[in-house]
Amino acid sequence: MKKSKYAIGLASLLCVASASAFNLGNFSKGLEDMQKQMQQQMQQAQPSNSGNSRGGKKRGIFEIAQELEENTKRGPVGRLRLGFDQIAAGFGGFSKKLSPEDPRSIYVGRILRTLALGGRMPYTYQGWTPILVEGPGDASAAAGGLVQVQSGIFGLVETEDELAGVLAHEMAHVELDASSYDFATKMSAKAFDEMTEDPKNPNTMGSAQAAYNFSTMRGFSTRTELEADERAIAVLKKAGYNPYGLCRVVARVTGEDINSVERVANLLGGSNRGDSLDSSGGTGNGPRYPNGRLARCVNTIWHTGGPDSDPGDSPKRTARYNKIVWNQ
Amino acid sequence: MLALQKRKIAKGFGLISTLFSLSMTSTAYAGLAMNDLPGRNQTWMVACQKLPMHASATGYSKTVGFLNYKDHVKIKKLSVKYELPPSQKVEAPENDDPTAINIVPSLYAWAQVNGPSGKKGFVPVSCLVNGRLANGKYEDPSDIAKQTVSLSAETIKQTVSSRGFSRKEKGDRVAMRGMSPTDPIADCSAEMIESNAKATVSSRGFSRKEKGDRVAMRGMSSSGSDGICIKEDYQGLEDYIKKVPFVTDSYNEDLAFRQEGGLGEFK
Repeated sequence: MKKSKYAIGLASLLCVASASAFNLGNFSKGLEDMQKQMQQQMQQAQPSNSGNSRGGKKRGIFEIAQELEENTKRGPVGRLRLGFDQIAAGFGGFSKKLSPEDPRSIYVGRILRTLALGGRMPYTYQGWTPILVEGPGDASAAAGGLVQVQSGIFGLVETEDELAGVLAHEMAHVELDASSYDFATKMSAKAFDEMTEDPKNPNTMGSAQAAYNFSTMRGFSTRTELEADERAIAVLKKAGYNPYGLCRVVARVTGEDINSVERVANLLGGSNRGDSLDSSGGTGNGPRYPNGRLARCVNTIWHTGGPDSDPGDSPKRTARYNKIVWNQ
Repeated sequence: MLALQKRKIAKGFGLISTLFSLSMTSTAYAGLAMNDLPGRNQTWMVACQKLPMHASATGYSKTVGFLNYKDHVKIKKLSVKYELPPSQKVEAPENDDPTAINIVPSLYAWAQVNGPSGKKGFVPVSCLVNGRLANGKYEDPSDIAKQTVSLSAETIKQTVSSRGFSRKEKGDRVAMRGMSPTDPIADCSAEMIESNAKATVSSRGFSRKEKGDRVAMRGMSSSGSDGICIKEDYQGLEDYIKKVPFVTDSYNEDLAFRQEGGLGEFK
């Protein structure tokens, strides 16, 4: 009963965390709240019974560490396995799928591959795989290059460049290996939990259960969403798409005005490391971008060679989009 | 006895912390086959099913040949250096410590290799593995779906939770993303699935649901606050993926597409 209560609490917490973290309008406050709640949860954490013994026999540190290493090293095949499960876990919820031969599926596949050729992961074990389902309009990507797109996305974007922006964002998650990283982090924390459990007094050392749920946010968090935007902009530019397409979609989703974004010159330093990413890759010498996903999106374009204003999307590509998606 | 046990645990704690940190560090090399960085003149194995070799270190350059899964290649040169983003660097020991060392591995995206037939070309490093991965069970592609399930069902479920999905403790999986703490948990009833299908935007223009002021869930999304029914379907996904054409040579396959759109090498 207690465990079940704890599990439900944790699930609710994840719910809160997810909702807070992905509410783009005030993500930093959401993140703070999430952290506070996670800390509270850790304090109240009960020990897990997740594998601290196999068949009743407690395992040694090195045995656990070996398994950890085995389970976290992954190549293209291992990543595909991981991604397959991530997508399959929700695939049954979509009653209708678009055929892989549907022109829109083929179109999404071509855009994905075009973007991928300019990225760091042009190929995966069995190629970038578009999975189109009927749904409100979310897009997600999993390790191994599986990209699930809900058909409602065609109602959100208006041009090929905007669609490419969404796909580049999802592709960036795969390139940055968010799901593998998340998986490895969880595995590490789980091993940590098992290693540190005191069999005589489990209540004193069982907090890694909550810790690894907190640590999962390293895989998918507001910060990684922003990083995915930044990486997406680089990939879009390299492919020849208008990077403002991505920012326009962000503006549409957040309800902000793209024209009101102000240029941030070079806000170096500051103590808000968690809130402001810098563009230097960690050296701290790059410009610090403001909070707010749209502002960061536009400033990323400005600080990485422009263009300084939205040049507009290619009419040829937009015509192609209208023809394939809307039959116009 | 208890004190001794605790001392043992305390002693082990440092080692464990180190292992934990090392593990976290190792995961930071995520762009590659986790942990391992290729070096010049090393022999690595191709772990992508069919891997085009390019004339230069970009996918927009011509395809000069193909490598197959399990081909061995010799690394001649590494190109296109990059760093992982801040979220994946390992900070030690505390955020506010000015002396903290940020471990940001420098990685390379492309490698110039000599293939089995001696042909030279550039391939993405993300398709290469070495050592244990090259011989291990985790890079054996046979029956991917089955092995995935058996690999670690519990940890996979945990991973799924972390992506914004969660499960009811007893019952079907439901989506948590986009839901506020007060939102009801969606279930996988036929009505729910039907309502998801209906929610699909069928008309032109921006038409996200305006139910509530919350928009945008994870990443790019347009839907409102309604939960989405999450129900697993491994077989369904496997069947779907089998029907998706496997494009082995995207450079040539999509050449006309890029040319028409002024993309890639035609930008």
